[in-house]
This record gives sequence, structure tokens and C-alpha cells, in this order.
Amino acid sequence: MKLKFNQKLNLMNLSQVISLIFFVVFFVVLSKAMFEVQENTSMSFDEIASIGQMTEYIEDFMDDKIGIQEIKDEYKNIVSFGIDNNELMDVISYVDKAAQLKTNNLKIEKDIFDLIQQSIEPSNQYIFNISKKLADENLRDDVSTLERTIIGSATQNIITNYEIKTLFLGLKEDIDTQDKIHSTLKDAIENAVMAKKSLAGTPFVTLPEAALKSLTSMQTLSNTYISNTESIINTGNLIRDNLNKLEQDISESGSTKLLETSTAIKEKLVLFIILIAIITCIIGAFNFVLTKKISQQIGGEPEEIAEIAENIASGNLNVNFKDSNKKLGAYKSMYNMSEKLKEIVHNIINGADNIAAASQQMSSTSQQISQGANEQASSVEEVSSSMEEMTANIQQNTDNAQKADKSTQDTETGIVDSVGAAEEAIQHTNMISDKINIISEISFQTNILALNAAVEAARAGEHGKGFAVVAAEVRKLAEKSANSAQDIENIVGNLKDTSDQAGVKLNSVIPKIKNNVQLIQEIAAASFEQNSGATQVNSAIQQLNHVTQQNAAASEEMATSSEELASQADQLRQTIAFFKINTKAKKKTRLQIAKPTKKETLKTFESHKKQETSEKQNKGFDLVLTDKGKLDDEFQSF
Amino acid sequence: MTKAKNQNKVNSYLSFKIDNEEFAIHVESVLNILEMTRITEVPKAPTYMKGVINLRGTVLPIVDTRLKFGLKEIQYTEKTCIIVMEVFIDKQKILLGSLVDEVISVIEFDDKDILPPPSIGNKFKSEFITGVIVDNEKFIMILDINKIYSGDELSILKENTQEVTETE
Repeated sequence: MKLKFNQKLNLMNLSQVISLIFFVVFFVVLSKAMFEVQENTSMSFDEIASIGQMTEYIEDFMDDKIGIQEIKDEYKNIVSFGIDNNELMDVISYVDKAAQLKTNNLKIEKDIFDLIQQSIEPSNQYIFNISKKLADENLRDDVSTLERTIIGSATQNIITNYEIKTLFLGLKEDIDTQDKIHSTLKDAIENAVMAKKSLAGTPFVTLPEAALKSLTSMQTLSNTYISNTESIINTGNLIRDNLNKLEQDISESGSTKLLETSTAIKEKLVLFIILIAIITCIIGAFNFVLTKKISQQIGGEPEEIAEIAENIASGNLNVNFKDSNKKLGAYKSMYNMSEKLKEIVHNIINGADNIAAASQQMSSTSQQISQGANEQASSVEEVSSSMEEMTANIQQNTDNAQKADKSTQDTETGIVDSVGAAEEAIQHTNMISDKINIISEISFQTNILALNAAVEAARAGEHGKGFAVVAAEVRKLAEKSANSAQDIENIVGNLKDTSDQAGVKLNSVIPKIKNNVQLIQEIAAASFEQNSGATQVNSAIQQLNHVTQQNAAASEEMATSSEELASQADQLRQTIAFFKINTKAKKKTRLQIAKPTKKETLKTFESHKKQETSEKQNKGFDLVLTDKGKLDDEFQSF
Repeated sequence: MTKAKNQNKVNSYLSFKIDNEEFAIHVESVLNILEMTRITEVPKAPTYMKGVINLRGTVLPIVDTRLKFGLKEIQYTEKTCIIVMEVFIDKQKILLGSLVDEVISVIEFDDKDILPPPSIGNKFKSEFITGVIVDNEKFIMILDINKIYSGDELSILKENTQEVTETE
């Protein structure tokens, strides 16, 4: 697998580190084992020392120098070593037993002393009393012989008790004096029995009885004491034996462990030596391979490579490659790099030329666009203003329509009122008609009356002539009246007709007016819609205007950008001139970038471009700049 | 008698219209001219007898002259009048009212102006037309009321009137 250079070096380091680790591990393990050995040994010593200590304590305990607590503590200590020995446990139980016996003995001691004291006390008292009596001259004689004899016994008792006490104390010191105490007690008891016998029947028999009792108890107690003590001694021996055995065991086990550990160490040591040898070989081989690979990677002297790189860095691409036939690794790459760089620089130079040309074109095109956009903007402005006018017109239409609507509605109202008025007029004429009718009737009736009168007058003959005249006159009047009434009737009739006609006409007008109102409302609504439509169009035009202006601005920007691009191309050429290339007849001439001045530049460039494209159909490697003299002239230098 | 004399000299006639024809009767036959009023119908009366009205307490039979003349009955207009006439029958005076379309005036004229009645193509019976007067190129036919109604008719009228009077 392909590893990076660093990785290879790291691997070498790693391999060394690994071998080092192995050493370390080996040492660690070994040390650990040796520590173990040391620990084991020291532990064994500690254990033994502990056992020794315990033995000492037990001795002291046996000698009543110390209590049982130290022994117990030491026992805990020993247990903490991990020694869980039956023998040890036995020891402890023995110790407990011994302790118990010792306690018993103490009690016995106390009891015996008490008994002694109890025994002594009455005798003392008796002696005291009798002595007192004897001392007194008066009472001396009262004292009987027996009583005097008893003094002796009492004194003997006291002496015996003190003897026993002393012997008992001696027994504590040395158990082998037990015979003495046995015999003393035996004698004392015999004496007491004898005393009791001799004093039987007397009130003083109580003394020997008491003494006997106490002595017997003492005997029992002392026997018990002795047996206890012997037990203690035996126990002590057992303990000692056990401890000895334990000590031995520990020693043995310690030695065994040591042997085991040493053997283990030896084995491990051998194993490790073998492993290390193997690993060293492997790592050695591995590193050898790596080193070879590394040198291949570099491919040559690093100093040489560095020198080449320095050259390239300072722009000199015409580098001499010694041993360019054997190209390996980095060396080879450097060679490739410099070749490639030369190529690239050629390309860049070409590219810069192209960019310059293209930027010129772009500049002029953008100028065109800008102009076009400006024209567009102005047209849009015109349209916009027209639209606004139209909108204003429509607005006016709407207003007018609304006014007309209102006016028509007023007209309608007016007409309805007129109709109402006409109807009222008709009503009035009807009223007039009625009145006229009445007048007609009246005149008719007057006529009738006049006729009646005339008839009567005629019937009266001569006498009635005058009356007949009167009647005739009345008739005339009535006729006149009737005629006037008729005239009025006619006029009224005409009036009525006229009013009717007017009313009819007005009524016929009303639907038309209503129609008008509707139409006008429709007009108003349509106009309103038109207005909103116009507004929308207006806003759209405004947007268009805005966009056009943006376009104009953008194209201006583009023109600027293209100028900048041209200058950048120039800069690029200057920058790339840093690299000095081996001229295979490649003369670099600075292609002057013309500042775009509207159309003339465009024309010139177009012709130039055509020529260029016709000349070189390749990728621009062979930058034949020598023939460019005539084309250069066509460019205006600024 | 005085009346007869008068009749020969100047006569006053009451002219009226029926169906656009002008007629006149002598004023001595005319008592009164009345306006059109409500006529109380009389059942079982002859067709031409429209009914009766109350004339100052008396019952007056009303006759439609048009029907009497055999003309079509028309609707009453406001000019329709009732002429209260005196008719002689068996020397008895009977009052009756005649419906006319219009009463015109009282006219005076001499006997000499009276022309003989036409006898050709007349829709009316000529015996009760005593004469014709020309007035402003207009013919006025003078009627003899006594001849219009026959005795029988008048009796019937009377009977009916009496019935009405009794019932009232």
C-alpha cells in the first residue's frame, strides 16, 4: 500500500519505539517479578517476626505480665498477612482457655484470702476478748482453763491461716510447692477435727467447726487452683508447640514461593530475549525496506531539489537537470513541475491576451447595452407619462360618470316629482271640473227654472209677458253661464289632456331615465375598473422603467468591470513576466489593452479578432508574437 | 176660450229634443219642467211607463217618450228632463211626465208660421204632429200631446198611478 513520506518516517520511528516498548515491557515484567520475590521474602520475615512477637506476648501472658488484648491484636496482624492457619486458631482458643483459667484462679485466690480472713477474724476476736478479760484483774478469774486453752487454739488457727496464705502465695510463684500446701492443709484439717472433738458440747465448738469448714473449702479451692495452673502450663506448652509449627510452616512456604518465583523469572527472561531478537530482526528488515522506499521517493539529493525549487521560486524556469535520465520520486516530480510550469506560463500569456481581447469586446457590448437600456428607459418614461395621462382621463371619466349618475338620479327624482305634480294638477283639474260641473248644473237648473217661468208666463198670456222677458233674460244668463262653464270645461279638459299627456310622457321618460341611471352606473363601474386596470398597467410600466434603469446601471457597471478586466489581464501579463522561459523563438510583446471608446474600438477589435481566429486554430501554445507588428498599429495606445 | 184666442195669434211653445229631433208642445199643456230625478219603478207597467215620481205630494207617472215613439232607449244624460204635461182624457185632466233628451226653450210664433206636417217617410205617427215650424233651417215638430196617448193607454197609466197612490 502506498504510504505517505511522513507516514514512512513515522513508521520507522514507530518501529524503534515498538522495540523500545518491548524492552521496557520486559524490564517492567522482570522488575515486577523481582519485586514480588522481594515482597514475598519480606512478608515471610514479617510473618515470622509476628509469630515471634506473639510467642513473646504469650510468654508474657503466661507470666501474667500482660493481658490478652495484645495477643489478640497480634493475632489480627498475623491474620492480615493472609495466614489462615488452623494451628493459629487453635493457639488462640488455647489462649482464651488459659485466660479463662487464669481468671478462675484469681477468683479462687480472692476466695481463699477471704476465707482466711474470715477464719482469722473470730479467733482474733476471741483472743482479744479473753485477753481483755485477763488483763482486768477483776475478770481474770472468770476466765476458765478451757478458755485459756482455746486461746492457744485460736492462736494456732491464726498462725495456720497465715501459713496457708503464705504458702498459697508461694504456690503462685512456683506450682511445685503444692505438696507443701497440701500437707499443711491436711494437718490443719486434722487439728481442727481434733479440736472439734475435744470442744464438743461446749459453746466453743463453733470455733473449730468454723475453722474446719473454712479449711475444707480452702482445700477444695487450692486443689482447683493447682489443677487450673497445671492446665495453664499445659496449654502454654501446646501454644508454644503450635506457634513453633506455624513458624516452620511459614518458613517453608516462604521458601517454596521464592523458589517458584525465581524459576518463573528465569523462564520469562529466556522468553523475552528470544522475542527481542526476533523483533529486532523484523524491525531492522522493515526499516531497511522503508529507507529504500524513502530514498526512492526523494529520487535524488534533497539539496539539489531545494536548489531547483529556489530557482523556480525566483522565476527562473530554465533549470538544468543533471541526471535527467534517471528520474525518480521528488526529483522527477520537480522536473515535471518545471516543464509543466513553462507550459502553464505560455498558456497564461495566451490566456491574458485572450482576456484582454474579450474584455474589449465586452466593454463595447456593454456600452451598447447601456445605450439601448437608456433608450428603453426613455421610451418607457414616455409610455409611463402617456399612461398617467390616460389614467387621469379615466379618472375624470369615472368622476364624470359618477356626477352624471348622481345628476340622472336627481333628474329621476325630479321627474317623479313632476309626475307627482302633474298628477296633483290633474287632481286639481278634476276638482275644477267638479266645480264647473256644479256650475253647469246650476246654470242648467237655472235654465229649467227660467223655462218654467217662461212656460208659466206663456200660460199667463198677456199678463205674463213681462215675466216672460225676465225669464228670457234669466235664461240668457243661464246660457251664458252654461257656455262659460262649458268653455271652462273645455279648457279644463284640454288642461287635463295636456296634464295627462305630460304625465304619460313623464312616465314614459321615467323608465328611460332609470335605464340611463343604470347605464351611467355601468359606465361608472366600467370606468372604475378601467381606472384600476390603467393603474395596474401604470405600475407595471413603472416596474419596467425601474428594471430598465437597473439594466442601464448594470451595463454601466459591466463596462467598468470589463475595463477592470482588461487592466487585470495586463497585470497578469506583468506578473507572469516574472517567469523567464527558454525562448524557443517566443518573443513576448506587451499587447496594449485599448480603452474602449465606443464603436470605433468595436470595429477594430472585430477585424482583429477575425484575423486572430483565422490564424491560429490551436490552443495557443505556439505564441507567435513576432508577426503581430501590423496588428499592433491598429490599436490605439492611450 | 181666451186661450183659444191666444192660440190663434201668438203661441208659445216649449221646444225639446228627442233623438236629435226637435219637438215642441203648446205651453198650455206644460205645467212644469223638472230635472231628471230618481224614478220609482212600477211593476207590471207597460214598457214605456218608466215609473212614478213624487211631485209635491202627488204621484206623477213618467213616460219615456222615446219608447213611445218606438225609438231605442238611451242612457239618461244630465240634460234629460221631465216635462210635466196636462193631458185631457174623457174630459179629465191627467198629469204625466215625459222624458225628453233636452229642453231647449220657449218659443213664440204665429200660427201662420206653422207648416203642415210631412206625411212621407216619417218615423213617427203623423196624426199627433200638428205642424212643423222652421227655425233657423231647423224643423221643429209641433206635437199634440193629446193625440200621442190613446185613451186606453191613459187609463192604464191612471190605474197604475192610482195603485201607486194607494200603496203609498
